[in-house]
Order: sequence, then structure tokens, then C-alpha cells
Amino acid sequence: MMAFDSRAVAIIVVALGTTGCWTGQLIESARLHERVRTYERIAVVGEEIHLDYTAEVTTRLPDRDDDRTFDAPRPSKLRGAVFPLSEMTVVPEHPVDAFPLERTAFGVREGQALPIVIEPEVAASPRSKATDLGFTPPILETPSLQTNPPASVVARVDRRDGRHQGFRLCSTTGDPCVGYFYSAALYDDPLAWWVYPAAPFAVALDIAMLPFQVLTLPVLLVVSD
Amino acid sequence: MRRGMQTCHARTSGIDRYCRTRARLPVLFVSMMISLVGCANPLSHSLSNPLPRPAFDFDRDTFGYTNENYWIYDLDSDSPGPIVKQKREDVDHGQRCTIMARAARQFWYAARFEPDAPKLADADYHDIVKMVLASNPRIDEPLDPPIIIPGYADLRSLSVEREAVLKEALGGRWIGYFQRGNWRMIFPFSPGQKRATATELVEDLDRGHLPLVHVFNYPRIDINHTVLLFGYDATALVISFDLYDPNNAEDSGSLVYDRETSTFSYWRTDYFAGGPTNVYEVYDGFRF
Repeated sequence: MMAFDSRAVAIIVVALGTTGCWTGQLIESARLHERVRTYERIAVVGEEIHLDYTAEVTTRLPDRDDDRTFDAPRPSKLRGAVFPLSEMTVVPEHPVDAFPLERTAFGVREGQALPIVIEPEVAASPRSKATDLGFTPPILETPSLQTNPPASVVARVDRRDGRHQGFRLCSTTGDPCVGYFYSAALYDDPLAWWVYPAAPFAVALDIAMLPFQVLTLPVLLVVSD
Repeated sequence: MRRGMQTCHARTSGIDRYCRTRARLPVLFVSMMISLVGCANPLSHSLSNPLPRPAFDFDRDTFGYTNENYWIYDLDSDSPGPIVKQKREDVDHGQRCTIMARAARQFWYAARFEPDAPKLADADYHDIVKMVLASNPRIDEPLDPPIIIPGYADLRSLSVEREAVLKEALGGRWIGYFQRGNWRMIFPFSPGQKRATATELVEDLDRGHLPLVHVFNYPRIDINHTVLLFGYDATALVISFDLYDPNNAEDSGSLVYDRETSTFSYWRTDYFAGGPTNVYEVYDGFRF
């Protein structure tokens, strides 16, 4: 009986000690991914753009190289954001993870909503590293948005799943549409609520198993390339 | 000036020790002379004001042979579950990605090739390579004075012609198992940490430093690899890093950082299907 218990304990220790950091895995499994599905309302208020949008919420990121369309409805949230109008035409453009925007509640509904037009589908270009990543080159003509106030929005759509990838602003004067706002700037990755009560247990487990994990790490490396 | 002198003394004592054991007097003499000349003229080779040097060239500054895989992977299989793999026979130089990537950087920083100088015997090249490998692997500036490698124009030509010498000098695979920064694999990488890593890699490359990075998915072991970054291209959405993969002597590879989701993706190879990975810099500071 004692031998069996020792073996069982050894197996459990090995199993726990070779599976990496439990706290980290817990946090990653609780991470949600919020990405823009559609823009519901875009308005210019003074020198600012006010956005209302629907964000789809997933527990894992879709594979960018996956050409399947995603017809299944996904959970969604209603979100809002505001940013200075001038930031859309900054050259060089802001990286999406550093775009100066402020998240707000959905449905503030200030200003006059601009009509949202879906950009006509453009001919497919040869696949490149950039297009493989879903990257669409920005359009950076820069007529003044102050002298030609935007009258409509042209949204670019991901043909695979219908998500709004970004938009440009267009005036009524026939000038080219200006700037480009990447929906990627609105990506968010909050944690599910249940991670907080579960985290102390994972931390305790990791504290107990850490020495064993450090010791077994080189052994695991041996079996791979 | 002080840093240059210290480097010189440390290297000189290292050479003495090595040459006593190997009795390579010609190499010792040449190396000491080179070192002494460097010590006597620190102003023209100051570490704080390094000589202009060409950018890292994949076709010149990498090894002509590859790190071999112990497994053959069937990455096109549609079957669910773990990737099917077969044991490869007669592998004599596997699991050397860490030492090869590290050595490529050491050669870039510490060595200067002099193709017009006469070629030496294998044993002499073995000693010179050992000297390069004995240089600080965490160095981020050209070694002053550099270690002279006569008879070859670059690492590529040296490693093609003296493959056996380099393989022997680089040694076993234990360096990868016990690399100081391996502890970091166990712990999670938050999106903020990944973003900071991408930023640091760009800053390193902007100042001319070549970062060595560990690419892995622990506790999954579908990839556990070390590569050398030598360039990048940034857009609003992604940063695409150019890399030297010791498993591939023909083409440079890519590691893409997605700014939206703060994720790194390693390119598709014959040993990895391509996709998200964790990344951190190794041979960088005390802890890594």
C-alpha cells in the first residue's frame, strides 16, 4: 500500500512538474479576445471621432492564414471609443498598439452620425507576406479634414468573415477619402472573471512545483529538436 | 580605453592558458601580437566609438552547414492530434541551434576575416575558433582588437571548407540544455511583456545589435529553437523580423510580431508548421 502511494505521488508530481506554469496557463485560458465586428455608429464631434461598435468575443484567436469563412455567430459586446480626428492622418501612421484612443461606453450618441459605406471589393492581389497577415496598405492622401469636413465613412471589410477591418473618411466635395483607421487598434484582451478566484490555487501549486519544474526542464529539451 | 585594456588582458591570459594545453605556438604568437597592437592603440579602436562595419549579411555571416533535426515531421498531415514524426538516422550534429546561433553572433562581433592572408592548418583554425567562442557571448559591440581569421573571406566560406573543424570546436549540445535563460520558459508571457520584447528587439536592431532569441511553446515541445535576428520591417500592423535559423543555410527566415494581439509567429519550416510562439532574448544581461 505504501509502495503504491509512493508511486502515485511520484506520478502526480511528475505530471504536475512537467506541464509548465499553472498560473500562466490559467491566465491564458481565461484570456478573452475582443475584436471589432462592425461599426454601428461613427460621428465627428468637434475635433474628435466617436465610435460605437460591436466587438466579437472569442476565447482563442482565429488563425490568420485560415481561409474559411466564419458564419457561426459569436458572443459579442457593445463598445465605444473616441480619438482625435487628426490622428487618422498622421504620417508615419501610428502603430495599432500605440494609437491614442480612449475607450468609452457604447451609445453616447453625440454628434451627427456619418453614413457608413462598405468599400467595393477590390481585385485580389498576388499573395504576399503582408496580405497573408491580413494587412491592407493604408491610403494616406491628406486633404484637410478641417476645410473639408467628413460626410461619410468607407469601411473596409474582411471578405473571409465580414469583419470591419478599418475605415476612411470622405468629404462631399469629391476629394479622395483620407486617413485610415485600423480596427486592430480597438483590440482588447480582458480576463474572464473566474480567473481571479482560481488564481491563488494555481500560484500555490506553482510555488510547490517550481523547483521540480526547473530541474526537469533540461530533460524535456533533450527529447525535442 | 579602460574597457579596451581589460578586454585585451583577459583575452591574452585566455590565449596563454589555451596554448599551454594545446602547444599551438604559431597561433599564440600571432594572436598575442595582434592583441598587443590593439592594446597599444586603444584610441583608434575604442569600444565606445567602434569602426564602421558592414551590416550583417546572411550569405556571408552564417554557417555553410546546418543544425540537423533528429526527427522528420509530417506537417501536411490532416490528422488531428500530435504531429507525426519519424526518427532520422545518422544524425551527428543535432540540437546545436543554440551554440550555432550564438557562435554566428560571436564571429560577427569578435572576428575579422582576412582572405588575403595565407591559410592555416586545421588545428590552428580549431584554436582560433575556440578563441572566438571564448569571447563574451553577451557582447553587444565589436571586440577590440578583433580575432583575426586568415585565409577566408567570411564565416560562410570558412565553415564550408572547414566544417569538421568548426563542428568539433563548437562542441556538444549541452549548451542548449543549460542555457542560463531557460528558466524563463516556465513562466507566462503577458501581452504587455510580449510587446516590451518586440520593442526591445527593434531597439537592439536599430542600434546595430543582433539579438539572439529563444523561440518555444513550452510545455508543448513542437518548437524549441534559438535563432539570430538581423533585421526587421515594421508597419502599423506587424513587425517582421529577419532571422538566421541554424537549421537552414539557404534562406533567412522570419518571425512576425502582430501588434494587434501582441503575438509572435514563427515561419513555417520543415520542423514547425508555422504559428504562434513565445519569444524572449537570450545571452542578454545577467539573467538570460
